[in-house]
Amino acid sequence: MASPVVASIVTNKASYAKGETITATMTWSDSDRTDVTITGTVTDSSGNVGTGIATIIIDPADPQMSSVPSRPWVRTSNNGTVATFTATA
Amino acid sequence: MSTLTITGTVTDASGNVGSKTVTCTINDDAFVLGETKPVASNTGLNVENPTLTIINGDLTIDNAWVAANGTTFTNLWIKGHLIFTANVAVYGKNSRISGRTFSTPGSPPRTAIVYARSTSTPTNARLHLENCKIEAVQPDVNIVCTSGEKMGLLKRCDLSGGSDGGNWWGTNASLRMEGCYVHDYTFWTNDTKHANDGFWPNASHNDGGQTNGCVDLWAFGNNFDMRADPNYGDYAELISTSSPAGGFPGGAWGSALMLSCSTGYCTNAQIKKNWFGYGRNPVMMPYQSNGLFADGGCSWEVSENRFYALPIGYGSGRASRHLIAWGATLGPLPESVWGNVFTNDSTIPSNLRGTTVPAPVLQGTAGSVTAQYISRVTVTP
Repeated sequence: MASPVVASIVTNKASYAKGETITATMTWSDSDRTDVTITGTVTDSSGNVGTGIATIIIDPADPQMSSVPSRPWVRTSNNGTVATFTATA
Repeated sequence: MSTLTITGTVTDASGNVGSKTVTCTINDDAFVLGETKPVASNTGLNVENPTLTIINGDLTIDNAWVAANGTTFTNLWIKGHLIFTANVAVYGKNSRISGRTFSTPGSPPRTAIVYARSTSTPTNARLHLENCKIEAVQPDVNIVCTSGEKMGLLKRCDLSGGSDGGNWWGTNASLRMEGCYVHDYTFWTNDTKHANDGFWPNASHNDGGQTNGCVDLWAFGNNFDMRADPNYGDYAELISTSSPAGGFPGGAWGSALMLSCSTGYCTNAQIKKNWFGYGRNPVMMPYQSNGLFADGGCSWEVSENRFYALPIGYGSGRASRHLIAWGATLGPLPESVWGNVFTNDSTIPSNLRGTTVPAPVLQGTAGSVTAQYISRVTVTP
């Protein structure tokens, strides 16, 4: 199993004043992740078909942010490849 | 300027981890001790915005705790009392201490949110707190924010909700605070500790910082906003014109620094570059214990303080508002009181802004322990 990869972390500024909001954007990937679509069907004796579809994720991954000194980091978005976090400087 | 090291991690369901680290620069706050007025946004937890670990209940820092945890702690939220009895100095930072609830008013679990009273430990075994928020989750007539002869330096702390802010009591105590924001004390009319008040018996005497005698007193760059919290205690009686004292508009009452040296002396005292607002006697030393420093000064300096809102006079004839008062022959020399000013802060109502801080004048008979030097302003209430 391969490890996830954090390709980059980009802050919206290089330096901050005390109390200012830091926005950090992480670009990441996980090659092991597999999205599987499952389709169930029921066919009656007349040939009528009913279907249901579900999607599951194999080996999902969870992006997080931390810092030293510590700050409470809040994840504001995550689309599976790009996650955005904020904290107070 | 400091560096913030940011680490992003991604962990998958199999436990595999990917990470990357970057840094950015934090331009430390422009807080300059003695020049920047301490307020809520630049003191306490707002200095470094720490992530806190909760401790439910009291935390006792004794020798066993120090042996296990060392002489520092940081990033704690103590939902109880902080009790200090260790025989070495301990430094706490970026923490919140809030006390706990109790069932019987007047009988709190401890008389202080931070309780550092011990006569059995070495003199230098003190508890120092920096960037801490100290508040009373359940204010009470018998709760102050900090108390004890083992209280050390309070630095950029935010103190509120106590009937007093900081108390440094007992033998070898030493009042030391710098860059602190002391505000929103709680006022009470059932304070039996002050049943002997000749003007308003049983009214609590609320003080920002108090000692009954100490060496090396250091009060530098603090902001004492001496107004009561309207949400607790007997605030309605405090401001009512029908109260025994005739009412104190805005809840202005109490002394910012009360040096009631009943058991010792205040020596080598520096009260400099603080901000004083409201209250009734911002800097008050009613007396020193008899004997020492008579007619010789006592290494005091009360200088370059800023008064940003007039206090309200106490007792009859309240037009006389004392800014600085101290015992005549047992206190500092008058020339050690200099450079104190009104700020004429535009955010303060004009009728509460003073103009000139007058030189102290002697009240009473020089040589008598009842005589005081008083710097006061006389205004129409």
